[in-house]
Amino acid sequence: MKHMIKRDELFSCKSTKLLVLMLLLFGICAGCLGKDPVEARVNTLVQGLGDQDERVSSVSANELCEIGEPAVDPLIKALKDENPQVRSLAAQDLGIIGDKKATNSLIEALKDPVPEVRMNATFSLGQLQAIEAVEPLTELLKDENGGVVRYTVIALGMLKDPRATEPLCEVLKRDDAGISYDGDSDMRYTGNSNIRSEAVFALGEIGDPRAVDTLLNLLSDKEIGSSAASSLGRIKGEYVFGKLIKLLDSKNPTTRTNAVAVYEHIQDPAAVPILVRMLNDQVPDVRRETAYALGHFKEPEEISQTEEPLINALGDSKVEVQAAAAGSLGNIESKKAIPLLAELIQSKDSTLSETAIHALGRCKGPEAADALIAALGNENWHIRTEIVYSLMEIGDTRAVDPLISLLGDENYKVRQGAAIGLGKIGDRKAVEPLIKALETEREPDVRVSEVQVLGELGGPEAIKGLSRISTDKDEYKNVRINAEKALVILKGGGAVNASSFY
Amino acid sequence: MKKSTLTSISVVLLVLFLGGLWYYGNGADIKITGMYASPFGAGDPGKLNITLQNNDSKPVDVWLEIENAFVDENGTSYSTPRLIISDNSTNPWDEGTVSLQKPIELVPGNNSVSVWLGYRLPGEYPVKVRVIENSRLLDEGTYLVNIPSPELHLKLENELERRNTSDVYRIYGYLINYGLSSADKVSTNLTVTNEKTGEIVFTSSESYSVGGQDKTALRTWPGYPYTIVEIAHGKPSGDSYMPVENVIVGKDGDHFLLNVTSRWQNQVTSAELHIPVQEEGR
Repeated sequence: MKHMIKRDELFSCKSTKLLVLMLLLFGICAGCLGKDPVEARVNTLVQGLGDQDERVSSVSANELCEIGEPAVDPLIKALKDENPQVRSLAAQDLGIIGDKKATNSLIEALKDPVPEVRMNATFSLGQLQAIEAVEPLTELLKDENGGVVRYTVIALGMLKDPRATEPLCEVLKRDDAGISYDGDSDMRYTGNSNIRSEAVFALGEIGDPRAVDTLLNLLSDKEIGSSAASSLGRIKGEYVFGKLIKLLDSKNPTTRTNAVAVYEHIQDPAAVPILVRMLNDQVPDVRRETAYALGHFKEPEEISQTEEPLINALGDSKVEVQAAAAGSLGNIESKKAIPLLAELIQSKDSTLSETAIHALGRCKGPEAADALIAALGNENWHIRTEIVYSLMEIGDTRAVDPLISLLGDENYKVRQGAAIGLGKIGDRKAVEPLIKALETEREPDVRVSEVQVLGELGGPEAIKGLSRISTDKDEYKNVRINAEKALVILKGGGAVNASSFY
Repeated sequence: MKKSTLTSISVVLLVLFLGGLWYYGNGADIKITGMYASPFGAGDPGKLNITLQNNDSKPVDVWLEIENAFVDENGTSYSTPRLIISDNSTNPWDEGTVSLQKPIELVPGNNSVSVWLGYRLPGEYPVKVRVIENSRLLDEGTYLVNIPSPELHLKLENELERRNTSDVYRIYGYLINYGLSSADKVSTNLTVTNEKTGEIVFTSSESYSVGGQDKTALRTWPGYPYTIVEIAHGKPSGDSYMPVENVIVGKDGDHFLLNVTSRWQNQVTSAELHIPVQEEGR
């Protein structure tokens, strides 16, 4: 009896307690391992970020983004991984997931020795709208790697914090800021922009009036003057108006051109009379930009000042000015300009001709439709195609018969456009001609469009024609599939089984 | 050693054994009870439907390893332990459409799972399916997928334009495939023979690809015919007929035989056309 131990004694034994505790811990760990598939999956995917097979690392990165919040902590941890590829992709994913919890770790990653990691961390901080990163990011503007500087500039623009205004203005003064960084091996870092134009864009994003003087000075820059104009347009307000209007009188034509371009973004009515005068500027680029800018003033009292001068500009000696005026007359839907725009369709310059066609499309109304229909005999197939698409935009039923005639055009692009146009107008009169056209049409793309339009127009004849096509073994597969789809919709059937014919 | 200590150790070992057994276990009772793939062709994605029976009373997470799921034109086989093809893909080799395989939850009873397959060339492919749970093989099976050959045919059509000084025949050619499988790089030769002299007056060669149950127009440029034959009544028109590259110019009384022959692996198909085309009642 002496050696018998009671239950209480067994549990009071220290080693037994320890073992039971270990067992419990083992059970809990095993349970955790076996019962949290998300965590296990995230860990597998984080490992996958470092895979040498680019597909695996790329897919892992994408899936971690899809998982979202549960992946944030492991990704933060991965920012310290030995493998730079893992750190880089982790930094990228944290920005896409968008959990601000990652901010401090990403700021820490700005010191990573590998440029790609710094670039991704920078960009992600921008995506996270991490205002607390503004100061470390402005420090990074001094980075030795151009790609990092460029991404920092972009990120600061995304943050829209005025504290970045002056550092960005400083970047614009740097000698190395004009270097283009489009030779990077990573697709994500390719592009034609250089640091200066990114800085100008970022200043526009921030919208701080303190950048106005810097940007106004840049209007004389041949490379990035137009970007500066665009950014000034985004800053808007009275900070710009007064100083800008003075630049319209600048002796430098580049400055005048870019100053005018700002008015495409800010419609200051006070500038309209000056701009109208500038349609007579000696420099064609200024006249072109002015004609283009005037098309953005759409208030009736503004149009009353601009319409006639723009119509006059259709007679400018330079085709580019004529084209800009034609486009603007389309923008303000000038009915008075229709006869002159119709004449310009016959221009030998295809750009001017196309602009006039598009302008007529925007002018809308029966007069514009008639003018376009009258020009359908143009010998240039490209012009005929553009006319078809403008008629489509107007949507006038008087275009149906001319479009039916174009189903027999010698050029397949015109025939395709005509078919699409008939579908857009939606007149069932086109069903029979479309079925007839399908008897001889050889181009698969045109046949697909014709079949699709038959499906849109519907009716018993369309169903009959589509049924024949859907069972023709010698038909293009894509055409057959589209005929099947159309039939299913017309008959109100269920899901489309594209290969059910066989 | 005290008896109490021995008892304690025995209890602990028993609990450890049971705990280990609970964790590692003998594996779930999962069986492959059926596999079936609807016919599909080379170059198209196919599906293998697998019926898995879970004889356990609770759901089980498994992974599928598929050998020979994808085989390229060089015969290289791609298994899918890590990458699977998303179900909206039409191109199994497009890296943008792959995703990492996720564990498949099998509920008690019968489960149907589909996996994607793809082959570049016709032939027989044994697809081996392994059902895995925590690195342990639960069951495996093999399904023989048969990818049929393409069925190639050629068709020639013509359109006649009568001009004052010549007759212009526009010849349109089509490579038609009635089979399920696509055929890439089908070598196609055109031979034009002067039927009076037996002399070959023109040859050209080009490769075309055609999808399963589809057709391809024999041409270089959309909107233009495959070949043009001009029969001049007097002086040839001098028209270059650009961008058509196969242009034959003859004179009144000439008769040409156009022969087009396509070859793909061991398949040969051809079509012929006589120019001028014999009109009805003539």
